[in-house]
Amino acid sequence: MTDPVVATIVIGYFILSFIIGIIGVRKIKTSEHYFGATRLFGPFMMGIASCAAVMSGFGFIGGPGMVYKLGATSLWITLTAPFGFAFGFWMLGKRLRLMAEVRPIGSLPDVVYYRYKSNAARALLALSLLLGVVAYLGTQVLSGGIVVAGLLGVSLEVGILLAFGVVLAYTAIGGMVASILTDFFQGLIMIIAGIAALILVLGMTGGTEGLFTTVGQQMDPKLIDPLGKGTWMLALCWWWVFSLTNCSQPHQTTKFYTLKNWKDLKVGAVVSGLGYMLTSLLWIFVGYAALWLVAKGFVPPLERPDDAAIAVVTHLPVWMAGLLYAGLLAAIMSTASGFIAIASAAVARDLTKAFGKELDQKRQIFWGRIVTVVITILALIFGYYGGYMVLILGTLGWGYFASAIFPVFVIGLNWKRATREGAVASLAVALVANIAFLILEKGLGFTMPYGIPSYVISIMASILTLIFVSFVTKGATEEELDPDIKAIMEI
Amino acid sequence: MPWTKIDRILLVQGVITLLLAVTALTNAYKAFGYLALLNLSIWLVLATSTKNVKYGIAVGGATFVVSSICLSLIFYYWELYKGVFPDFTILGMHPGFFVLFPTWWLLLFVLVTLMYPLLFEKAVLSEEDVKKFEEKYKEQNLGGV
Repeated sequence: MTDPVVATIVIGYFILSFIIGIIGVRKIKTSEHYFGATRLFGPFMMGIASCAAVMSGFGFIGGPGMVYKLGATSLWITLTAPFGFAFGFWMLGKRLRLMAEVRPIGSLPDVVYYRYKSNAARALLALSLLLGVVAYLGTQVLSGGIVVAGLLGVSLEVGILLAFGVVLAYTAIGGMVASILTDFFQGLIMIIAGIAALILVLGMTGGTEGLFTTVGQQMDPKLIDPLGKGTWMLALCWWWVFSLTNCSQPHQTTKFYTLKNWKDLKVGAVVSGLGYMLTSLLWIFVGYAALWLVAKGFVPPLERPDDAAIAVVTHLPVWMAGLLYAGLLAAIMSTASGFIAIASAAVARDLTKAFGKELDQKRQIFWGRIVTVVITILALIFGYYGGYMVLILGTLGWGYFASAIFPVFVIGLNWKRATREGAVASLAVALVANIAFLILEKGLGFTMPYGIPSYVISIMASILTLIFVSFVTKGATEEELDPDIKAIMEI
Repeated sequence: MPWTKIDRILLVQGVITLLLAVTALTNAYKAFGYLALLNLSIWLVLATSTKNVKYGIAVGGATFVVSSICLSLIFYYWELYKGVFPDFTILGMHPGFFVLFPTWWLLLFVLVTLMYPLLFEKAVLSEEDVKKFEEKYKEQNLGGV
């Protein structure tokens, strides 16, 4: 059984998350509210929810673990925040927000349909989102369950049911509205945890001087240089991908049309970027603090890099451990709830529309709730029993979504010459390339040279497909665009 | 269909993306790094191309120049102190690390994040733009919530 203070904080966190999520149900008047939280929130809520959704459990455990293992290499991911978040606002903010003024947007496939007038593109994106979301959720099931089981001294199964039961309950009832409200609360916890980690770690190590000098002199100078132990191609590929495609993650792209007022875009950009920058302090400083503890002989070298955060927490005040664990759960649950809401919309709204079946508002919400329950249970079963398949499909993460969403949204909403054929081809290439790399790497043992992540090639391929297919085709370009959509793209 | 400036930007971005793939697969990491910065900066120009492109060029250009200087310094210090503890540190940090974090990190916050609200009316969306848009299209509302 864990420390009672930590257990109390974690249980309190669960209860608060549930209550906050349920409060959201009052805001739901239409199916667009349920599936997309369209035009419901102010910039602080949207901005903090945005950074919480993007910072997954990986940032709290995997991030420090990668710093412990590789030094600065993984920082080329998290340090893209001041570019990546604002980049989305520059490229997509006004276009998606204005579209919500004149069209009933409740999901990303809705936007694709209005832009490209293609049910094939709508269905393909919905299917891509569904596959990616279930695969991602599957990877979170065991990690979420292990954290809760360890914290509360319960079995793994009970841990899984507690963590995902709470998420399921508030997401089924409140949809995307509940997801954003809880993301906001969870984002605040993450930001406080990030700032607290910085202060406590620097207090423990004697400031940055003591921290970096000790690690560089007593362990390995490579750990404190700007590259670390990875390759330059890996670091720079990460830099390019995470700067470019932050806005192409479904749980991030959907946030632009949740703003109540178009003027809120201004503050939203600053809040989301700054929020993530603060949470990433934990990734950086907890990772280096673990190296410092080993260098000083306070802990033995870690067998698993992912134990870095836990090793540091045991040397910090107990309330910080509670905060960190609550932050970790917040990171897992906030990303999960956003994904569940997106998957629910993909099935109950987008696939039905793509196949010509339009449900009325009430029935959409009713079926949205049913689908939320079904998808979450499927993800739990897949995550618990999936074994090796979970590990394989779990790699369909960031790069998979980026290669599907970036071309059709970021390019397509800024370029009137982007065609329907280009969009469908690009979505198909994204799906095929990612699955092909998955088979090549996990099934046949193929590895990309120089540390290049394979999804970088998938993203490049889908971008090139959209651009060059659009140059030689004509569907849904200038003359075919609806006047309001054309105006949104010209403004 | 006559070529617009956005068509040309997209063609350039297509070519740069191809070059990124080639430099990645040949491990030409420095070329990849600068091309990636150019690619990212040009997207910022595209973002403002329908409103007031000179602001996009200013933001994208400044981002490219500042980022290129930071990246060059990072490469320089990394090569200078490769595998050894550096002769001098800044707040205990390797000078190349200090350029990566917090220098470049904070500069990008100012250049890309803070510039967005500061240039919003001129480069992104003005009250007048929205008023005109709403007058014309909100009445024919196609179902906006």
